[in-house]
Amino acid sequence: MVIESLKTYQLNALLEVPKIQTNLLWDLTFVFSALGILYFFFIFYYKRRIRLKSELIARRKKDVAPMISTFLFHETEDSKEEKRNYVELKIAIRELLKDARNKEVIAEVLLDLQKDVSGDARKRVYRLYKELELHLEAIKKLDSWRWEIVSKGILELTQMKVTSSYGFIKKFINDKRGIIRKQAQISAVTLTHEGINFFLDTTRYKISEWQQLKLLEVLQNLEGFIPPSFKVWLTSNNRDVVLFSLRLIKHYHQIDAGIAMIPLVKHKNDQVKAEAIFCLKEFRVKEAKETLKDIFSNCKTDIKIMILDFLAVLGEKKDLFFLENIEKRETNFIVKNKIHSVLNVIQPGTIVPTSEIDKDLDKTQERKTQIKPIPTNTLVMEEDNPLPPKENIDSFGKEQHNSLDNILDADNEDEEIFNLCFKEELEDILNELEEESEFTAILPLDFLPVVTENNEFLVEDKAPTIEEKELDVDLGNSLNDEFQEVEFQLQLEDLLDGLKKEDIDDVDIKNIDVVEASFLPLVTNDEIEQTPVQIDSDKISINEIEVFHEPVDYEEDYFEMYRELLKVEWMPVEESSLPSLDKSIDWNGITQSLAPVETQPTITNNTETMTANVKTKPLNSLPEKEKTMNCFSIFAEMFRDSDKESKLILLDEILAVGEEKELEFLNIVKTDKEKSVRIKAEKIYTQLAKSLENKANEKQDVLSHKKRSGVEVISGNPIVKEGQNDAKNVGKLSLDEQEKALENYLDIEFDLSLETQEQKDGKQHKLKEPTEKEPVKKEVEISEKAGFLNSIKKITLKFFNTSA
Amino acid sequence: MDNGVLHILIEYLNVIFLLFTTILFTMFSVMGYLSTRNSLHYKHKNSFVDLSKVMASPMAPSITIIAPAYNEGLTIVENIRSLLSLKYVNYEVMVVNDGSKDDTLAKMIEAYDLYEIAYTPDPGWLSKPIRGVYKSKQRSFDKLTVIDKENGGKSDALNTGIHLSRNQYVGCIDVDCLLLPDALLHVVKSFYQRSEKKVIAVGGVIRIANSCKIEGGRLQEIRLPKNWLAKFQLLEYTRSFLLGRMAWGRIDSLLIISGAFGFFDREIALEVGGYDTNTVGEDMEIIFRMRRHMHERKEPYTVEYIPDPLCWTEVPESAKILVNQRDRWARGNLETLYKHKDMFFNPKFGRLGMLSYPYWFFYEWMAPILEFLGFFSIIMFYFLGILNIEFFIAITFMVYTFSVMFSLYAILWDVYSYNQYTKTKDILILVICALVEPITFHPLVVWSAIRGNYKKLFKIQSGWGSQVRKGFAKT
Repeated sequence: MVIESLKTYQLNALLEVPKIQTNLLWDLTFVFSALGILYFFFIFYYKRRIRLKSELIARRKKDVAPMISTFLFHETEDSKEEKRNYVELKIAIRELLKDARNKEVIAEVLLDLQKDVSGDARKRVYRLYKELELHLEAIKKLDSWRWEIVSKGILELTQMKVTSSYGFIKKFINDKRGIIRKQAQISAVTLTHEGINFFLDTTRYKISEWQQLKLLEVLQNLEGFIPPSFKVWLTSNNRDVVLFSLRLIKHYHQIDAGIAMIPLVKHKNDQVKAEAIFCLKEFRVKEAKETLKDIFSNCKTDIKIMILDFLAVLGEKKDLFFLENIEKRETNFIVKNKIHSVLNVIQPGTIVPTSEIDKDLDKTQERKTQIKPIPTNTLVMEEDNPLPPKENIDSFGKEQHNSLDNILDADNEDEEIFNLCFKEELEDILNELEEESEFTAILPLDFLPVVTENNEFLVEDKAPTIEEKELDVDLGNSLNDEFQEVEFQLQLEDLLDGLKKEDIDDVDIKNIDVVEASFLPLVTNDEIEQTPVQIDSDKISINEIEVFHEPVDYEEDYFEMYRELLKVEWMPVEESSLPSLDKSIDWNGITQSLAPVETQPTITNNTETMTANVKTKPLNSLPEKEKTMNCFSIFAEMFRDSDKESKLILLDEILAVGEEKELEFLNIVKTDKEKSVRIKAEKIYTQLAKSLENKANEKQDVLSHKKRSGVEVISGNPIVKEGQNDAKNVGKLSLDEQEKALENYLDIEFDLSLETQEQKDGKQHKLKEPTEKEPVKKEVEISEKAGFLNSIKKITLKFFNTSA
Repeated sequence: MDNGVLHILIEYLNVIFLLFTTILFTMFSVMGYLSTRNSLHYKHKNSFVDLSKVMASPMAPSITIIAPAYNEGLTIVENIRSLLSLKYVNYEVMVVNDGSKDDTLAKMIEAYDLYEIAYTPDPGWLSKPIRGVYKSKQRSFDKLTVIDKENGGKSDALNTGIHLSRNQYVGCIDVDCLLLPDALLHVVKSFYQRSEKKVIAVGGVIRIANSCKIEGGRLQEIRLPKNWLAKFQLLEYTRSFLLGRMAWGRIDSLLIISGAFGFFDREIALEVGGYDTNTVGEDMEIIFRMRRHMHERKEPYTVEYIPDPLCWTEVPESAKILVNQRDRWARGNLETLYKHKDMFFNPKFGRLGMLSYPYWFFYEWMAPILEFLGFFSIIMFYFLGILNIEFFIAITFMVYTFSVMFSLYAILWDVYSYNQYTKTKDILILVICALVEPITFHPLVVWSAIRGNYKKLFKIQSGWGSQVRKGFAKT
């Protein structure tokens, strides 16, 4: 009864279909519709966002990139205006860096830029990256919990060669997160030369092929990298380290690792085996032969092929037995073919074709009379592996070309024919050699130096011993001329290189016959010996000069220039602190004539200051400091409007480019309300004072040294002896006279014309016309009228070329 | 009573159908999630990679690109030129002329100055006889090898190429496919980047090149196809490749690599005997076999998938050719599933046996059949007066909105990841396709699948059919 009721129950249960809630279906429909609509809007939202983001980044990069480029390629020798721009740029960039998004953009710009430049420019990019402290941001990224941010930080530090971050990065070499680990490994190898050692010693994880490829690429591009002996890691427990070491050994051709690789041919891993065998073959390690033979039969096809390649290179006749044995046992077609090839390499003619040989007696009759019968061999190719018949392709009308393989195939060699051909070739070569011996080549001898004492062609003395035909062309004079031109060019280049330096006394004029005009007038003797003067680099003997004096034409432009100068706000200087000026110059008269409106005493003082600033004075002769902000310093104005951070930056710049006037300015800055600014100003002041003192001492040394040798140069400028006609006495000018001469320095107009100019005041000095044997002359014309504002003096330099 | 039983049966059918649909939707949702994660991971990972450095590395592996050609005279020269222009050093291009009846071989010989070289066939390798092997006399084409053989089908041609290649990896592509210049760099990276597992095969996304601007064998501008059938297929490929295969790749259960862009470890491919010449779904079947082989060897391995758009090809623009193509796919599907039926819910094969194979069986093979039968059932039930109209309408709307939502998600992901179609008009067209596809394009696909299954089940002879090649439009 119960069972029956249960059965009924089960039947009822089966008959009762689970009710499907259509409401649920409609709810799901509603949800899917809502999601669909959401995705629809998101599509356009993302499109727009991607577009705007890329536009924004492009715009920011466009704004930032020129700033960065200008900033990067700033030269310390630039004009003051450009220095000012440089400092302003730096401040602007600092302002930009306050925004995190701009930091990202600037970092990206620098990362892109460093890919496009090389050498010094790239180093500047790295330096700038560090100066802007972007590397600190990258280091901060290393602390993130997100792997992509950590990886990005590592990548940035690696690409910008921040070697100081090596310590932070190397701890990630065994990170469990794969991407971070790989980035850290590459970074470690990139940043230091010892990174590869550390990596191979410490890595616990497997190294993928891709990673090995990238590491190898990094090592290849490391400058000055001296690879360690990688055989040390062949015994590592990490299989991938062993494999990578093998590859590095192969790449760097470390032959000394040959013996150490032999056990690796028995390695379980086929890749290691293959690499080891390849290296052994490349390095010609004969000792590995027996080991390879032992393992041959248990290897896979590819390894077998490699072993056979090894035997092809290093096999000897005693290995033939082994090869014959394996050939009999081998069933793989490719391996068998390879064995045959190796046999023929070791002993040519071992394997010859026996099937499908032309059996037509008529056609081979001729051949039989010429060639010996081909010796048969026990190792004959099986009939089911015939060589393909060489047929023509009729349908295309082209002849079949035998492949190089066929031609070189040992099976196809015919010894007799080969001998005949060889003899013919030999005869041809011998004939050619005989013909060549009749021909006398004219050797290109113009590279040899020519001694031109008598303009004789001296090459004959150094001519080779082979027979020569007489030269039809008289090469003597033309060679002489050519040589002189070349000599001239070389000397010119040397001199130009020397003259690029600031101080002219650093120019090495040893062996220089030609001196070219530069922007700095150079006083030399009117007679320079033709033969090079042996002068030590420390002692420069500049020959005496001839001084030419000319009246100066007062031109409107010059007055304008001076008027402009006068408009600048000068620091009022106490009269007593100024060096004594030439009393013969009527300064007041000058000012009055040029600037009738501005006849204030300050103008006079300012001009005197300018004059003083031209001279290089020992530090202790500088005027006392003034406690006003009206310093003659380009930084003063900027400092006034800057905030604390910018001030700190400016102080750095002062140290880099500052001069004496900045010292005064720094004294004022020391009273700044910001403590950090004050402290920094003190520090910078000390450093700047020290560096300026060193510079001054150096120049003093040079000055004193030159005084002893009879040559006086001040501030890299030549000595200008006012009113002195005889240039021979230049070397004897006293320091005071030099100072006076320098007062007129700014009056000097440099005329690089080669033509002489007569002085209007009556003192005329004719320049000697250059002759072939006349020494190089340097002539400087100096205006007679001294005075900063009154006279404009012309100085011309003339140089003669002995070879002109 | 009979009516009651019938009614109960129909209700059960409804339940089964609902269950089937619910499981399918759940799987699709999970696939959407997995593909999203995989795509994001891939995107982040690849932002640290500079592939160009691989190009000439001494460690870069050698690759053979095998391109079977049959009656490709119209476009063969340009296609080969495109293949020879890839950014990679250590590779060769092997074109297998599979008994073409037109002037394919003649054009190649003339264009590339080919000459026949001596060749010794391996008697152990079974394939249709090789008539000749050609190389170019010019050094600039020394990467090219042309093999002329008797017609044996795509699989036979690929096998010949695999056998004759001496390189580490082989790539099997359609000769009319356009590969991006750095395609091989991505492939090499995919093969090399794993340290724990051996990568035995790498597959990639196939993008639709219809109406795109192609010049000198290079893709210059991506455009939406003008043909509506091609547009529907574009949407379908986006869903399938970007969502479906990315998800399977994430859990290392990918069972198919597209025949138009697939790369294999040559050693493993030879060990499994190459492609099966007795099936038309050879691209799927070889992956099944390679996976089984690695399972039996008990070696850790994986099949990698590259979501980057590296390979562009033409899709059929006529309904007839489309139906033929899908017919072939359905037959290939059935052949492969039948051949490897022992994997069905077999824990020995891990996720393959417990997840991938059942999915393919129920939702790739059985789903079109169920849909077709369901369609007729509904009509029949309606005329019999036993149709649960309320349920029918609700489930229809649910399925429809889900499919539209899924398509829109695929479009969204494509925009986020690659943003190939930048014009708003193109996006709107794709959205319209998503709305209209369940009613227009999908029935065509279902019909093709039914036809293919019918032919296969009733052993009706049918081959590959033909694809009309227009060639990439030159500008």
